[in-house]
Amino acid sequence: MRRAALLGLGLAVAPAAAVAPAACQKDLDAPLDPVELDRPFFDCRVQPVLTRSCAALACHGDPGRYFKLFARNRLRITGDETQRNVFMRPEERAHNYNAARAFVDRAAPERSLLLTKPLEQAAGGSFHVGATLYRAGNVFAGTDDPDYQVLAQWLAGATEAPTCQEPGSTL
Amino acid sequence: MPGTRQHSVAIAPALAVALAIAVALASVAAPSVAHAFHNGAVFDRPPGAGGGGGLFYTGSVRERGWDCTACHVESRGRLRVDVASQPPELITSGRFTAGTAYAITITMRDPQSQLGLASTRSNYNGVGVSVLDAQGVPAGTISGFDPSRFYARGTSILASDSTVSNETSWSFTWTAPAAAAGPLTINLGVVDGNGAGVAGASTLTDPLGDDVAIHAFVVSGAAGAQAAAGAQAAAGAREGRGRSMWAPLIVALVVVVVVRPRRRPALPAAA
Repeated sequence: MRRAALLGLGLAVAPAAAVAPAACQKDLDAPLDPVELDRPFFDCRVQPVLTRSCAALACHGDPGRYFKLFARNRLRITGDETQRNVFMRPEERAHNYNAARAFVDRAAPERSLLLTKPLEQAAGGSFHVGATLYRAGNVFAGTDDPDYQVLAQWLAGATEAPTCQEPGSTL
Repeated sequence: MPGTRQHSVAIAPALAVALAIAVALASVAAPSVAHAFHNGAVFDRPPGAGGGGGLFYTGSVRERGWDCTACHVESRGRLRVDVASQPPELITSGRFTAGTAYAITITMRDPQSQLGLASTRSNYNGVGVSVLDAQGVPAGTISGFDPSRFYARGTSILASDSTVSNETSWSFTWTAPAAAAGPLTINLGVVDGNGAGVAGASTLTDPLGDDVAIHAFVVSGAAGAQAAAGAQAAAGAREGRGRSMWAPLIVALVVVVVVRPRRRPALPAAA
């Protein structure tokens, strides 16, 4: 009898236990809550790094990529071939800003994928398919790379004047 | 041709599909706005202006191996180029003598079958070259090129200006360092532009639909047979991308050999 009761209790609890973890999941439809990072610093200092070292058409300039980046003479959000090098559009800059923030670890910015993916694994980076494509290593050989430093500074809260303009962006 | 090493495109199939940066050595003289990587100088422009920020995509160590395919993503992998030097030892033996000037010629093979011949206004092909040491430091001096056809960055990086239609051959001189050095790597990328200006196209150039050939020659200062042999071995390693295209075929053959008997039991001897 007692055994039957325990079994019954077990049967009743099991489904609830199975569902419990799911109930702990955040609502997937809920809006994201990305880290607030300085937008002028991104536009003025981070964007050139992303354009130069990440946004090639074979890499993150591929429209099929989850971490997709727009840049002049690379992937554009709209337009035909004659517009591939027109000035960056506001919506392209906003997209890039949000895409980059999505790869920032709020709790441990220094462990953000935005920093670890392009960093050589021997220097503390994460696996990055992009490091294997051209067989000459990852984007940043070490944390002393000036471009890596720019990304790290942004994640550490660096700011720029709102008037700061991306070099070359008006040419 | 003496001193010529014939090369097939060194791009693995998967790479050819996946690759490419706007780098188009291919092409043009856009009338007003620079629309793409039309000429060598664009590689030196700031990224914010749509330039390469100093990257020339020759595949060198300085550029983390990134080459033309970073933007020319639709390379068919059919382009073949011949590279020759005079004296020939540089290319044929991977050897140079300190202070010697080598005339280097890069030629697209089968120019009659190049892409873009149907274009009447912009069949721009192009080349990018760098000569660097293992740390990515410039080595030797490039000279002897037509400044109206090339853009030079420093003394050992060169990119064609691609302003002449149907250009299929490029020449320059590389003078080896005064002191024996090595190994050095000559990285080069050639783009066979598909003539974006064909049949109503809206632009003279674009990074799509072109073909690309990428090569690397590792060379060492002549210090005896051992150094030369080492240079050749290194060259072979660098050109592994070309040979790697055979790897899937070899694997497939092995699989066929291993699997076939099980799937098709041996038949009795035919009558």
